Amino acid sequence: MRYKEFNSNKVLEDCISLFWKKGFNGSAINHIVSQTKVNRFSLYKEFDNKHGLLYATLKLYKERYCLEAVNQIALTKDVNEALKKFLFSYINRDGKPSGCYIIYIATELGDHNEYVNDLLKSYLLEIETTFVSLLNTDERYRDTSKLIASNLILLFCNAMCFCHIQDEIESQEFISLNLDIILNN
Amino acid sequence: MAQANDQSYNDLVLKARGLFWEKGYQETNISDLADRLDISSSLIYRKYSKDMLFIDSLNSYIASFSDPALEELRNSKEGLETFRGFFNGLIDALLTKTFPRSCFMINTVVELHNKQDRLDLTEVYNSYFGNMRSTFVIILKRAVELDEVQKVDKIEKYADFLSGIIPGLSVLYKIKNKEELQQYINQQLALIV
Repeated sequence: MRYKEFNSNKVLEDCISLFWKKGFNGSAINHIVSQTKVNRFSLYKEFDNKHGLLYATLKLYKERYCLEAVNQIALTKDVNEALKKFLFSYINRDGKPSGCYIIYIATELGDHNEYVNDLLKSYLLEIETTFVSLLNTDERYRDTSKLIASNLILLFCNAMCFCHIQDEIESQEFISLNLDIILNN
Repeated sequence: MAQANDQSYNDLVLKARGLFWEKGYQETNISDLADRLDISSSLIYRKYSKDMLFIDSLNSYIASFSDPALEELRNSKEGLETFRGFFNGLIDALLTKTFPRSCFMINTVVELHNKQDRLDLTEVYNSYFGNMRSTFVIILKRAVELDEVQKVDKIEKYADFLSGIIPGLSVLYKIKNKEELQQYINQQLALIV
């Protein structure tokens, strides 16, 4: 039996950093090889092709970073606080750029790549469903939870873009202001 | 390759804009640009540069799409309905592919999140979002006069709130249909009271 000489998750983390910087199409295979220090043959053996690698990075990102943020929502009692915490968690992540890798990749590829498009859809739906459950825990929002959740999804997408042109404080203020308008109307 | 000296700089920027819009900044290389602009790579190196063509593509985008739309908003007589028309127009442009690939400005913000200082993009962003926001304030003031908005002290906040719709739509149009997108606009406008 031949042992794999590399740790797949480490390779994927390296690829996330690379793609998130140079874009998927802007990352040539030799960039990937030098970033991951794994040769092309082994990469293709593990992930089939460059797209296989991309899909694996998206899956890892979602499992490793987004699920955690989504689970955090259930642990916070106050609705406004829970939403703030969730959205803020995308703004300042140790060692990662602000924003969301899935939205970044969807901005580049979501128009033509069905896999990326489906992933964006299921990802946002998952977040929206979590929002609805959260809102249902508070009687003030229960009757309109679906409507509010859909406004919050728009806010999520907005914030994932605006955090690139605002500093951390401005982003937090932008999010708080939007939450106030959406929740306290 | 033809040198096409008869092309004005504006012609060149328009062609470059189409290419950058489709492919993004990073994936566009000098030979792609040379092909699209129908000039030689060396002329691009010598006389222009990728960065210069890119920044001017963004400026041209603002001048062609954003500025006229905002001017129309300012000249309108209506209040909140003006926003509905504006955002629904944007939804149509996104869905019917009048826009080659989403909103060029939002694509750029997301794609070049870690390069904006190097490329001096801040000024372009400020001009784009600043102009939009100040136009929104004008419309909101009119909506107050028309008695559509009661919370006068919230106008500035509403302007920020509404400015955020464009990036959101630029993502959501990929997975939602026209009715769903228009529903977002109606919901957002219903929050302006």
